[in-house]
Amino acid sequence: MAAIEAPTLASEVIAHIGSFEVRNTLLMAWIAMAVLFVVSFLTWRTKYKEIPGRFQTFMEMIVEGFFDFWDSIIDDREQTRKIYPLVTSIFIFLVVANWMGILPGVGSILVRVHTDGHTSMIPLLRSMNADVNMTLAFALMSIIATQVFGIAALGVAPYMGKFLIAPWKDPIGCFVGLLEIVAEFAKIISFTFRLFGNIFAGEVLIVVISFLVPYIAPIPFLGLEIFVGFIQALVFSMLTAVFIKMATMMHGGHEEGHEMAHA
Amino acid sequence: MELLTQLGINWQLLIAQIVNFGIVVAVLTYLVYKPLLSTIDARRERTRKSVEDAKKIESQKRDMEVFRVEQMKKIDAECGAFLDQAKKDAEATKEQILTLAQKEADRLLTKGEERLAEERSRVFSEVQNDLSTIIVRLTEKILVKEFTPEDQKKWIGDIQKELPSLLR
Repeated sequence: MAAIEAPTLASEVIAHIGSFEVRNTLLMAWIAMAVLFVVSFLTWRTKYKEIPGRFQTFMEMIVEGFFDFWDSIIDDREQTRKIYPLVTSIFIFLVVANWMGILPGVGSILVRVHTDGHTSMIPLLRSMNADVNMTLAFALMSIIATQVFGIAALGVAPYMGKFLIAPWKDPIGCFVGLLEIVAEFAKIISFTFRLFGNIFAGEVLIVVISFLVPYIAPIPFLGLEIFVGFIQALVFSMLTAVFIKMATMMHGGHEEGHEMAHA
Repeated sequence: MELLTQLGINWQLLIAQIVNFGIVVAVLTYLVYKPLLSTIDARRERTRKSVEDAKKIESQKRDMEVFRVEQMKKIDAECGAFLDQAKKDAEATKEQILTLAQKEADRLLTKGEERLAEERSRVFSEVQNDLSTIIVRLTEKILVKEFTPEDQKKWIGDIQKELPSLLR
Protein backbone atom coordinates (compact mmCIF):
# COMPACT_ATOMS: atom_id res chain seq x y z
CA MET A 1 0.00 0.00 0.00
CA ALA A 2 1.34 3.41 -0.95
CA ALA A 3 2.15 5.80 1.90
CA ILE A 4 0.67 9.25 2.21
CA GLU A 5 3.17 11.88 1.12
CA ALA A 6 2.21 14.67 3.48
CA PRO A 7 3.73 18.09 2.88
CA THR A 8 6.79 18.90 4.94
CA LEU A 9 6.74 21.77 7.45
CA ALA A 10 9.42 23.61 5.56
CA SER A 11 8.90 24.70 1.96
CA GLU A 12 11.07 23.10 -0.71
CA VAL A 13 13.86 24.72 -2.69
CA ILE A 14 13.17 24.43 -6.40
CA ALA A 15 16.00 26.57 -7.74
CA HIS A 16 18.84 28.90 -6.78
CA ILE A 17 19.59 32.41 -7.98
CA GLY A 18 23.17 32.77 -6.80
CA SER A 19 22.97 31.94 -3.12
CA PHE A 20 19.33 32.88 -2.97
CA GLU A 21 17.00 29.92 -2.62
CA VAL A 22 13.89 30.05 -4.74
CA ARG A 23 11.27 28.04 -2.88
CA ASN A 24 7.97 26.77 -4.21
CA THR A 25 6.07 29.06 -1.84
CA LEU A 26 8.01 32.07 -3.11
CA LEU A 27 7.15 31.11 -6.69
CA MET A 28 3.52 30.97 -5.60
CA ALA A 29 3.89 34.43 -4.05
CA TRP A 30 5.25 35.75 -7.35
CA ILE A 31 2.33 34.22 -9.26
CA ALA A 32 -0.12 35.78 -6.78
CA MET A 33 1.69 39.10 -7.22
CA ALA A 34 1.45 38.74 -11.00
CA VAL A 35 -2.33 38.19 -10.71
CA LEU A 36 -2.65 41.30 -8.54
CA PHE A 37 -0.49 43.33 -10.96
CA VAL A 38 -2.65 42.25 -13.92
CA VAL A 39 -5.81 43.29 -12.06
CA SER A 40 -4.13 46.59 -11.06
CA PHE A 41 -3.09 47.19 -14.67
CA LEU A 42 -6.63 46.47 -15.90
CA THR A 43 -7.93 48.93 -13.32
CA TRP A 44 -5.39 51.53 -14.41
CA ARG A 45 -6.51 51.02 -18.03
CA THR A 46 -10.05 52.10 -17.13
CA LYS A 47 -8.57 55.64 -16.71
CA TYR A 48 -10.74 56.03 -13.62
CA LYS A 49 -13.56 57.55 -15.66
CA GLU A 50 -16.19 59.82 -14.18
CA ILE A 51 -18.88 57.52 -15.56
CA PRO A 52 -17.39 54.09 -14.82
CA GLY A 53 -17.69 50.94 -16.88
CA ARG A 54 -18.58 47.55 -15.40
CA PHE A 55 -15.03 46.62 -14.39
CA GLN A 56 -14.32 50.02 -12.84
CA THR A 57 -17.65 49.87 -10.98
CA PHE A 58 -16.72 46.44 -9.66
CA MET A 59 -13.29 47.66 -8.52
CA GLU A 60 -14.78 50.81 -6.98
CA MET A 61 -17.28 48.64 -5.12
CA ILE A 62 -14.44 46.55 -3.66
CA VAL A 63 -12.22 49.53 -2.82
CA GLU A 64 -15.06 51.52 -1.25
CA GLY A 65 -16.41 48.44 0.52
CA PHE A 66 -13.02 47.87 2.16
CA PHE A 67 -12.75 51.54 3.07
CA ASP A 68 -16.13 51.50 4.81
CA PHE A 69 -15.28 48.23 6.52
CA TRP A 70 -11.95 49.49 7.91
CA ASP A 71 -13.56 52.78 8.83
CA SER A 72 -16.17 50.92 10.88
CA ILE A 73 -13.25 49.52 12.93
CA ILE A 74 -11.02 52.60 13.06
CA ASP A 75 -13.89 55.10 13.31
CA ASP A 76 -11.73 57.93 12.01
CA ARG A 77 -11.71 58.60 8.25
CA GLU A 78 -8.27 60.25 8.25
CA GLN A 79 -6.70 57.38 10.17
CA THR A 80 -8.52 54.87 7.96
CA ARG A 81 -7.09 56.59 4.89
CA LYS A 82 -3.57 56.13 6.32
CA ILE A 83 -3.87 52.44 7.20
CA TYR A 84 -6.04 51.53 4.20
CA PRO A 85 -3.24 50.48 1.77
CA LEU A 86 -1.58 48.26 4.38
CA VAL A 87 -4.58 46.36 5.71
CA THR A 88 -6.33 46.07 2.34
CA SER A 89 -3.16 44.78 0.69
CA ILE A 90 -2.69 42.25 3.48
CA PHE A 91 -6.21 40.97 2.96
CA ILE A 92 -6.04 40.90 -0.84
CA PHE A 93 -2.58 39.36 -1.03
CA LEU A 94 -3.46 36.69 1.55
CA VAL A 95 -6.84 35.80 0.09
CA VAL A 96 -5.51 35.56 -3.48
CA ALA A 97 -2.56 33.43 -2.33
CA ASN A 98 -4.79 31.22 -0.16
CA TRP A 99 -7.30 30.60 -2.94
CA MET A 100 -4.57 29.98 -5.47
CA GLY A 101 -3.28 27.29 -3.12
CA ILE A 102 -6.25 25.07 -3.95
CA LEU A 103 -6.00 25.42 -7.73
CA PRO A 104 -5.32 22.22 -9.66
CA GLY A 105 -1.60 21.70 -10.13
CA VAL A 106 -0.56 23.25 -6.83
CA GLY A 107 1.18 20.48 -4.95
CA SER A 108 0.62 17.97 -7.74
CA ILE A 109 3.03 19.25 -10.40
CA LEU A 110 6.37 17.83 -9.35
CA VAL A 111 9.89 18.79 -10.37
CA ARG A 112 13.03 16.75 -10.06
CA VAL A 113 15.72 18.31 -7.88
CA HIS A 114 19.20 17.13 -6.98
CA THR A 115 20.24 17.76 -3.39
CA ASP A 116 23.18 16.32 -1.51
CA GLY A 117 23.87 13.78 -4.23
CA HIS A 118 20.40 12.29 -4.43
CA THR A 119 17.40 13.14 -6.64
CA SER A 120 13.94 13.85 -5.26
CA MET A 121 10.56 14.94 -6.63
CA ILE A 122 9.13 18.02 -5.01
CA PRO A 123 6.04 20.12 -5.78
CA LEU A 124 6.70 23.04 -8.10
CA LEU A 125 4.02 25.12 -6.41
CA ARG A 126 2.87 25.22 -2.83
CA SER A 127 0.36 27.45 -1.09
CA MET A 128 2.19 30.64 -0.12
CA ASN A 129 1.02 30.64 3.46
CA ALA A 130 1.96 27.02 4.05
CA ASP A 131 5.42 28.46 4.71
CA VAL A 132 6.29 30.05 8.06
CA ASN A 133 8.64 32.51 6.35
CA MET A 134 5.73 34.05 4.49
CA THR A 135 3.37 34.28 7.43
CA LEU A 136 6.19 35.53 9.67
CA ALA A 137 6.94 38.26 7.11
CA PHE A 138 3.31 39.37 7.21
CA ALA A 139 3.23 39.23 11.00
CA LEU A 140 6.42 41.29 11.31
CA MET A 141 5.09 43.92 8.89
CA SER A 142 1.79 44.06 10.71
CA ILE A 143 3.36 44.52 14.14
CA ILE A 144 6.04 46.96 12.95
CA ALA A 145 3.34 49.00 11.16
CA THR A 146 1.30 48.98 14.37
CA GLN A 147 4.22 50.47 16.30
CA VAL A 148 4.88 53.05 13.56
CA PHE A 149 1.24 54.16 13.44
CA GLY A 150 1.11 54.26 17.24
CA ILE A 151 4.20 56.45 17.46
CA ALA A 152 2.97 58.66 14.59
CA ALA A 153 -0.37 59.18 16.31
CA LEU A 154 0.76 59.65 19.91
CA GLY A 155 4.44 60.62 19.69
CA VAL A 156 7.45 58.56 20.80
CA ALA A 157 7.36 59.28 24.54
CA PRO A 158 3.60 58.83 25.12
CA TYR A 159 3.58 55.67 23.03
CA MET A 160 6.62 54.15 24.74
CA GLY A 161 5.08 55.14 28.06
CA LYS A 162 2.68 52.27 27.52
CA PHE A 163 5.59 49.80 27.75
CA LEU A 164 8.15 51.52 29.94
CA ILE A 165 6.85 52.68 33.29
CA ALA A 166 9.20 53.44 36.19
CA PRO A 167 8.71 50.77 38.94
CA TRP A 168 9.10 53.32 41.75
CA LYS A 169 6.22 55.33 40.34
CA ASP A 170 3.82 52.56 39.48
CA PRO A 171 5.03 49.00 40.18
CA ILE A 172 1.88 47.41 38.79
CA GLY A 173 2.04 49.64 35.72
CA CYS A 174 5.68 48.62 35.23
CA PHE A 175 4.69 44.96 35.30
CA VAL A 176 1.79 45.61 32.91
CA GLY A 177 4.23 47.43 30.62
CA LEU A 178 6.47 44.37 30.54
CA LEU A 179 3.45 42.24 29.73
CA GLU A 180 2.62 44.65 26.92
CA ILE A 181 6.10 44.11 25.47
CA VAL A 182 5.65 40.35 25.73
CA ALA A 183 2.19 40.75 24.14
CA GLU A 184 3.70 42.47 21.12
CA PHE A 185 6.00 39.49 20.52
CA ALA A 186 3.13 37.12 21.28
CA LYS A 187 1.14 38.88 18.55
CA ILE A 188 3.89 38.09 16.05
CA ILE A 189 3.87 34.42 17.02
CA SER A 190 0.08 34.32 17.10
CA PHE A 191 -0.23 35.94 13.67
CA THR A 192 2.44 33.68 12.19
CA PHE A 193 1.21 30.36 13.43
CA ARG A 194 -2.53 31.01 13.14
CA LEU A 195 -2.25 31.63 9.41
CA PHE A 196 0.45 29.04 8.82
CA GLY A 197 -1.38 26.41 10.90
CA ASN A 198 -4.70 26.89 9.13
CA ILE A 199 -3.31 26.84 5.60
CA PHE A 200 -0.83 24.05 6.26
CA ALA A 201 -3.51 21.99 7.99
CA GLY A 202 -5.78 22.57 5.00
CA GLU A 203 -3.08 21.30 2.66
CA VAL A 204 -2.53 18.21 4.78
CA LEU A 205 -6.26 17.60 5.00
CA ILE A 206 -6.67 17.82 1.23
CA VAL A 207 -3.73 15.46 0.71
CA VAL A 208 -5.10 12.94 3.21
CA ILE A 209 -8.67 13.07 1.85
CA SER A 210 -7.39 12.84 -1.74
CA PHE A 211 -5.33 9.80 -0.74
CA LEU A 212 -8.24 8.08 0.98
CA VAL A 213 -11.00 8.95 -1.53
CA PRO A 214 -9.46 10.48 -4.66
CA TYR A 215 -12.73 11.48 -6.38
CA ILE A 216 -15.68 13.62 -5.24
CA ALA A 217 -14.84 13.43 -1.52
CA PRO A 218 -12.19 16.23 -1.57
CA ILE A 219 -14.68 18.67 -3.13
CA PRO A 220 -16.38 19.72 0.15
CA PHE A 221 -12.95 20.14 1.70
CA LEU A 222 -11.86 22.34 -1.19
CA GLY A 223 -14.96 24.48 -0.47
CA LEU A 224 -13.93 24.54 3.18
CA GLU A 225 -10.44 25.66 2.18
CA ILE A 226 -11.92 28.55 0.16
CA PHE A 227 -13.83 29.57 3.28
CA VAL A 228 -10.79 29.11 5.57
CA GLY A 229 -8.59 31.06 3.14
CA PHE A 230 -11.04 33.97 3.19
CA ILE A 231 -11.56 33.90 6.95
CA GLN A 232 -7.83 33.73 7.71
CA ALA A 233 -7.10 36.67 5.41
CA LEU A 234 -9.95 38.61 7.02
CA VAL A 235 -8.80 37.75 10.56
CA PHE A 236 -5.20 38.73 9.80
CA SER A 237 -6.11 42.08 8.24
CA MET A 238 -8.85 42.86 10.75
CA LEU A 239 -6.57 42.13 13.71
CA THR A 240 -3.95 44.39 12.16
CA ALA A 241 -6.57 47.15 11.95
CA VAL A 242 -7.66 46.50 15.54
CA PHE A 243 -4.06 46.54 16.82
CA ILE A 244 -3.42 49.79 14.97
CA LYS A 245 -6.61 51.25 16.44
CA MET A 246 -5.42 50.18 19.92
CA ALA A 247 -1.95 51.55 19.34
CA THR A 248 -3.26 54.94 18.24
CA MET A 249 -5.50 55.32 21.29
CA MET A 250 -4.31 56.84 24.54
CA HIS A 251 -3.46 54.33 27.29
CA GLY A 252 -6.77 54.47 29.09
CA GLY A 253 -8.67 53.13 26.10
CA HIS A 254 -6.71 50.05 25.12
CA GLU A 255 -8.49 47.52 27.32
CA GLU A 256 -11.41 47.63 24.91
CA GLY A 257 -9.06 46.76 22.05
CA HIS A 258 -7.67 43.82 24.00
CA GLU A 259 -11.15 42.41 24.36
CA MET A 260 -11.70 42.78 20.63
CA ALA A 261 -8.37 41.13 19.81
CA HIS A 262 -8.99 38.17 22.10
CA ALA A 263 -12.54 37.64 20.91
CA MET B 1 17.33 27.03 16.50
CA GLU B 2 16.46 23.45 15.60
CA LEU B 3 12.77 24.41 15.52
CA LEU B 4 13.55 27.32 13.21
CA THR B 5 15.47 24.93 10.92
CA GLN B 6 12.62 22.43 10.97
CA LEU B 7 10.15 25.14 10.11
CA GLY B 8 12.43 26.23 7.28
CA ILE B 9 12.97 29.78 8.57
CA ASN B 10 15.20 31.49 6.08
CA TRP B 11 16.08 35.15 6.54
CA GLN B 12 16.60 35.67 2.82
CA LEU B 13 13.13 34.35 2.10
CA LEU B 14 11.69 36.43 4.91
CA ILE B 15 13.23 39.59 3.51
CA ALA B 16 12.19 38.61 -0.03
CA GLN B 17 8.60 38.22 1.13
CA ILE B 18 8.69 41.58 2.92
CA VAL B 19 9.99 43.15 -0.30
CA ASN B 20 7.28 41.33 -2.28
CA PHE B 21 4.61 42.66 0.03
CA GLY B 22 6.09 46.15 -0.16
CA ILE B 23 5.91 46.01 -3.96
CA VAL B 24 2.30 44.77 -3.82
CA VAL B 25 1.32 47.60 -1.47
CA ALA B 26 3.05 50.18 -3.68
CA VAL B 27 1.51 48.90 -6.92
CA LEU B 28 -1.97 48.53 -5.49
CA THR B 29 -1.75 51.94 -3.81
CA TYR B 30 -0.64 53.81 -6.92
CA LEU B 31 -2.72 51.93 -9.48
CA VAL B 32 -5.85 51.04 -7.56
CA TYR B 33 -6.44 52.51 -4.10
CA LYS B 34 -5.36 56.13 -4.52
CA PRO B 35 -6.91 56.87 -7.91
CA LEU B 36 -10.12 54.97 -7.20
CA LEU B 37 -10.56 56.52 -3.76
CA SER B 38 -9.88 59.96 -5.28
CA THR B 39 -12.42 59.26 -8.04
CA ILE B 40 -14.97 58.08 -5.48
CA ASP B 41 -14.29 61.10 -3.23
CA ALA B 42 -14.53 63.49 -6.18
CA ARG B 43 -17.77 61.87 -7.30
CA ARG B 44 -19.13 61.96 -3.74
CA GLU B 45 -18.16 65.63 -3.48
CA ARG B 46 -19.85 66.38 -6.81
CA THR B 47 -22.94 64.45 -5.74
CA ARG B 48 -23.01 66.34 -2.44
CA LYS B 49 -22.63 69.62 -4.31
CA SER B 50 -25.32 68.62 -6.81
CA VAL B 51 -27.68 67.72 -3.99
CA GLU B 52 -26.91 71.04 -2.29
CA ASP B 53 -27.41 72.87 -5.58
CA ALA B 54 -30.65 71.01 -6.16
CA LYS B 55 -31.83 71.98 -2.67
CA LYS B 56 -30.75 75.58 -3.30
CA ILE B 57 -32.55 75.59 -6.66
CA GLU B 58 -35.61 74.05 -5.02
CA SER B 59 -35.54 76.74 -2.35
CA GLN B 60 -35.06 79.46 -4.99
CA LYS B 61 -37.91 77.95 -6.98
CA ARG B 62 -40.15 78.12 -3.93
CA ASP B 63 -39.08 81.73 -3.30
CA MET B 64 -39.69 82.55 -6.95
CA GLU B 65 -43.11 80.93 -6.77
CA VAL B 66 -43.98 82.97 -3.68
CA PHE B 67 -42.62 86.11 -5.39
CA ARG B 68 -44.55 85.29 -8.58
CA VAL B 69 -47.79 84.78 -6.67
CA GLU B 70 -47.22 88.06 -4.79
CA GLN B 71 -46.40 89.85 -8.02
CA MET B 72 -49.46 88.38 -9.70
CA LYS B 73 -51.61 89.55 -6.82
CA LYS B 74 -49.99 92.98 -6.99
CA ILE B 75 -50.42 93.12 -10.77
CA ASP B 76 -54.03 91.97 -10.44
CA ALA B 77 -54.65 94.69 -7.88
CA GLU B 78 -52.88 97.29 -10.04
CA CYS B 79 -54.75 96.13 -13.16
CA GLY B 80 -58.06 96.30 -11.30
CA ALA B 81 -57.30 99.83 -10.14
CA PHE B 82 -56.08 100.78 -13.59
CA LEU B 83 -59.21 99.31 -15.19
CA ASP B 84 -61.45 101.15 -12.75
CA GLN B 85 -59.59 104.37 -13.44
CA ALA B 86 -59.81 103.73 -17.20
CA LYS B 87 -63.55 103.13 -16.91
CA LYS B 88 -63.95 106.33 -14.92
CA ASP B 89 -61.82 108.25 -17.42
CA ALA B 90 -63.73 106.74 -20.32
CA GLU B 91 -67.03 107.68 -18.66
CA ALA B 92 -65.83 111.22 -18.05
CA THR B 93 -64.52 111.50 -21.62
CA LYS B 94 -67.80 110.14 -22.92
CA GLU B 95 -69.73 112.71 -20.86
CA GLN B 96 -67.44 115.44 -22.09
CA ILE B 97 -67.78 114.38 -25.71
CA LEU B 98 -71.54 114.09 -25.40
CA THR B 99 -71.76 117.55 -23.83
CA LEU B 100 -69.60 119.02 -26.56
CA ALA B 101 -71.63 117.21 -29.23
CA GLN B 102 -74.87 118.43 -27.67
CA LYS B 103 -73.51 122.00 -27.60
CA GLU B 104 -72.37 121.73 -31.19
CA ALA B 105 -75.69 120.27 -32.24
CA ASP B 106 -77.52 123.08 -30.41
CA ARG B 107 -75.25 125.65 -31.99
CA LEU B 108 -75.81 124.16 -35.46
CA LEU B 109 -79.56 123.99 -34.86
CA THR B 110 -79.69 127.57 -33.74
CA LYS B 111 -77.59 128.62 -36.68
CA GLY B 112 -79.79 126.57 -39.05
CA GLU B 113 -82.91 128.10 -37.61
CA GLU B 114 -81.48 131.56 -37.97
CA ARG B 115 -80.43 130.86 -41.53
CA LEU B 116 -83.85 129.36 -42.25
CA ALA B 117 -85.57 132.44 -40.85
CA GLU B 118 -83.33 134.70 -42.88
CA GLU B 119 -83.98 132.62 -45.99
CA ARG B 120 -87.70 132.64 -45.38
CA SER B 121 -87.67 136.35 -44.87
CA ARG B 122 -85.61 136.84 -47.99
CA VAL B 123 -87.80 134.48 -50.06
CA PHE B 124 -90.92 136.14 -48.65
CA SER B 125 -89.61 139.53 -49.61
CA GLU B 126 -88.67 138.34 -53.09
CA VAL B 127 -92.03 136.62 -53.58
CA GLN B 128 -93.73 139.82 -52.38
CA ASN B 129 -91.83 141.90 -54.88
CA ASP B 130 -92.38 139.41 -57.71
CA LEU B 131 -96.06 139.15 -56.89
CA SER B 132 -96.43 142.92 -56.82
CA THR B 133 -94.74 143.16 -60.18
CA ILE B 134 -96.97 140.40 -61.63
CA ILE B 135 -100.15 141.96 -60.29
CA VAL B 136 -99.17 145.38 -61.57
CA ARG B 137 -98.48 144.02 -65.02
CA LEU B 138 -101.61 141.97 -65.02
CA THR B 139 -103.60 144.95 -63.93
CA GLU B 140 -101.94 147.04 -66.57
CA LYS B 141 -102.92 144.61 -69.25
CA ILE B 142 -106.51 144.49 -68.02
CA LEU B 143 -106.77 148.20 -67.59
CA VAL B 144 -105.29 149.00 -70.95
CA LYS B 145 -108.37 147.61 -72.56
CA GLU B 146 -111.04 149.06 -70.27
CA PHE B 147 -109.63 152.16 -68.46
CA THR B 148 -108.33 155.46 -69.69
CA PRO B 149 -104.69 156.24 -69.05
CA GLU B 150 -105.67 158.62 -66.24
CA ASP B 151 -107.89 156.01 -64.55
CA GLN B 152 -105.19 153.50 -64.94
CA LYS B 153 -102.68 155.70 -63.25
CA LYS B 154 -105.01 156.46 -60.40
CA TRP B 155 -106.12 152.85 -59.91
CA ILE B 156 -102.55 151.53 -60.10
CA GLY B 157 -101.50 154.12 -57.63
CA ASP B 158 -104.27 153.04 -55.23
CA ILE B 159 -103.47 149.38 -55.63
CA GLN B 160 -99.82 150.02 -55.06
CA LYS B 161 -100.66 151.80 -51.89
CA GLU B 162 -102.96 149.06 -50.64
CA LEU B 163 -101.04 146.02 -51.89
CA PRO B 164 -98.55 145.70 -49.07
CA SER B 165 -101.29 145.66 -46.51
CA LEU B 166 -103.25 143.12 -48.55
CA LEU B 167 -100.29 140.83 -48.85
CA ARG B 168 -99.62 140.63 -45.15
